[in-house]
Amino acid sequence: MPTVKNWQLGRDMAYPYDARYPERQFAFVFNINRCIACQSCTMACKSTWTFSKGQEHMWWANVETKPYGGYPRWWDVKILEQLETANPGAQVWGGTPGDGRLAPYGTFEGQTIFEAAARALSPDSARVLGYLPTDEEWNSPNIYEDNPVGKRGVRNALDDTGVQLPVHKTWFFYLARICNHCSYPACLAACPRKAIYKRPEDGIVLLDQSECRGYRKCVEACPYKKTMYRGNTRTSEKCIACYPRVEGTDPESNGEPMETRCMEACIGQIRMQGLVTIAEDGTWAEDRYNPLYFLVHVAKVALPLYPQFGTQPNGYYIPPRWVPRPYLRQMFGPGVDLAIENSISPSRELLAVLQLFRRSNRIIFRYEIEEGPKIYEGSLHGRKVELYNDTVIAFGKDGRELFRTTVEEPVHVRSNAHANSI
Amino acid sequence: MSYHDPEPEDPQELVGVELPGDEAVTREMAATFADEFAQLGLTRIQILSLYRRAEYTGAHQAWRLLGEDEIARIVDESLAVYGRFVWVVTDGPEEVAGSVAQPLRLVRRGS
Amino acid sequence: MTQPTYAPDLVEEAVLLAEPTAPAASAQAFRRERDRIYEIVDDDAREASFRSLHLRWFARLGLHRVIDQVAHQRVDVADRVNVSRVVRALTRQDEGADLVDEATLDAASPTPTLVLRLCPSTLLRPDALCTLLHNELTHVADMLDPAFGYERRLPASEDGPSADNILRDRYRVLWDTTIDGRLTRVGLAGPTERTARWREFASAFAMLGEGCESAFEEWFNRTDPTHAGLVAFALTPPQLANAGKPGRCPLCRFPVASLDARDGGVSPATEAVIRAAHPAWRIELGLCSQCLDLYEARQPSCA
Ligand code: SF4
Ligand code: SF4
Repeated sequence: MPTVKNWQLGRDMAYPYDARYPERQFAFVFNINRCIACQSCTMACKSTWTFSKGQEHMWWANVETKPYGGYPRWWDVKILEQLETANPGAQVWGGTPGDGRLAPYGTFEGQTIFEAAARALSPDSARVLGYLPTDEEWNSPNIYEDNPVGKRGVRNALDDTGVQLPVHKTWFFYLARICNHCSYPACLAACPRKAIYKRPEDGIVLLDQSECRGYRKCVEACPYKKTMYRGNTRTSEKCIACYPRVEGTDPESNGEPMETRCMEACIGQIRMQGLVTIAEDGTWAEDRYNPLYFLVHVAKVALPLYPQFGTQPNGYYIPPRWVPRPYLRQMFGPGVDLAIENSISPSRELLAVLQLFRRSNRIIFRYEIEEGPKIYEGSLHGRKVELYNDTVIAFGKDGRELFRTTVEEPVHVRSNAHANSI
Repeated sequence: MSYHDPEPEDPQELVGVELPGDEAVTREMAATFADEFAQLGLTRIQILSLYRRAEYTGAHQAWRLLGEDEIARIVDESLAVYGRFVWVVTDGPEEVAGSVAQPLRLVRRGS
Repeated sequence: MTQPTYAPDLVEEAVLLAEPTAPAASAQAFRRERDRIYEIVDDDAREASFRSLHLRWFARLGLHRVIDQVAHQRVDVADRVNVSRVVRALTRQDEGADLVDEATLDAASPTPTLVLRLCPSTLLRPDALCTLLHNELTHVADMLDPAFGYERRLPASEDGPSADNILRDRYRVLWDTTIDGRLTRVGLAGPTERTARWREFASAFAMLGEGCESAFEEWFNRTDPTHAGLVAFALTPPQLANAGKPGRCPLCRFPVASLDARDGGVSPATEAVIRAAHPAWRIELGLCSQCLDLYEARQPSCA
């Protein structure tokens, strides 16, 4: 099997095809700390792309309640378990997270789904370790995950109040997911008909419906379970990253690259999507003032989801602060501690970049900060906070200014007792 | 009518699963939401209603466990920093041939 | 009963699931043929080709065999139903057999239709399928047997839904016990089923105490159970007949047939945990098994 460079793992890795990199890569950052599971993203996607007959169970975008929820149910637990069985006790990271773009999280010493398959599966049965979810696993996207079910004997209803259940002392968070448009897609690697391809211009991974013959190898292989089989057309389908919007060919976009529907609809304003420039070796080319580059490589607050699977996913997450660290390290790799530290007390630049989230539905290619005077100094959660009246300006593809965000001091600070009086 | 052993794949079987967590975790989650939404420029009443509404299970659970007063204290703590200011977003001028650029100002208020 | 008809979606999914275990040459032949059907432009013609291909392979892979065998053995059901349909169940919980009354369509022949709901993956597990079918068909045979006197509804309780649930549970356990008893005697069920039923019986009828085992034996060995007999026993097992209405657990206030009676009773540590939550509670008042489990679990670990 050829080898390719996987910078998220800090090493070369076996992959069934030779490396070929797009010019730019579709990528996104989700700030989990803000997601309230309103499911607006889920519905925006569903009402745009998967509202037809045969797509009833399909949710290309979904939000699940972790740790016990999942769509399909237990997708991550199942693949983690398969990997653990293939390589017991050795799915570990080595080295230390560093500053470089090549091994920012250290080195993954375990096996990816491609490497484990090469060892554990007979050669032609599969190139990727995976499994086919059952009907019932696809059945309940975020249903029953954090609402008590209806009264006994009442079908298809959730309990409004759940008054009879005790309040549990527990932790959970919402994980919003779409296809990661991976750099080394498992779906693509597994397709016996080469019906899946990665676009050279933006790295979006598409599944050619006219070539698909419903082998479902992609469904089996994608570790994130983001390709889905449609029974009435007998082909698989997957998230298309709203490519007409990203291209700027959607009538609404006026020729300017636009973010996807799920990003645009986000009520919690947790989402930012963009296109990052890819260097010849497949790493992110330095692009210091691209907001995604800043969040992933400079501020290091956004981390890939389960990088150890080996597909080099292009979805990045600002991890939730309150969740036990071992769980987060398993999910986002060894970069978690630094990411949380940096996001609890955001730097001056990070605070400015966070203001770019959801202020526009155009893709931001570059930002600029015009520094202003310090306007506040104090402390929060035992950490020092300084605020500046900086202006952050967002630019679109052709360098046009999309918007600017700045801070204005209020006339006065209201007392708590009358905080909302005018 | 059929009989079955408990079915691990039945979503209803999951109801009542308790995971280890404690007040510190809940407090941290509540403080995170408060910081994030204060940074976004939501008002005190908007942030508080997020906790009060049962639909937002995470925030609401914190509200039920810690109580309104404690949540209000947590929210005020974040607002004391991020709520002092008004974030102003100004759209860049539209490039429409022949028209004069009219920047649109969207004001997001702090507390 | 005529040959069962199979729902196309069940057939297709079962064939697709079975394909990886088929010999490589036949799997390839199947795929070649299936791939070609995608090229058919006319929707109806394409759909028809897919269906007939899957049905052929369903037969070729022998996926109908167990159902045919069991149907053949079960003359007690076969003679009394009209046609049977096998459809796809979405979850394992949904699997089972039902009688659909289609008498209104043809008043002259009020023979019901048998509907089997199965998950595609169950068709690939012959042993499990055989056990499931015999069990389900015995339920159906009882329902069709005038001597059994089946009624769709159980008597409603005045004690609300939880008492209804208790009754439904007990009725189900009893019926299953007699069914597995009958199946065991004709060699269609074995010790595994017996043990499973005994466990269910012991928990549903824990109030019988020492008499529980002999009651289980009696029901397991019964050859001619009736609906009315099952309901009567489920409503008031003998030991309770004199004790009046079932009581409530003093802690959770749920109606229960009996309080916990397990050996060893409540340990002092558990008692302390209960007293912390319910200061007025005394050990003589007893508690239900669910509460005992709960408070035992809440004990601070002293290991
Ligand atoms: S997330 Fe899954 S479907 Fe999407 S590109 Fe990666 S492997 Fe393919
Ligand atoms: S729209 Fe945003 S906040 Fe709402 S569920 Fe989706 S990701 Fe979370």
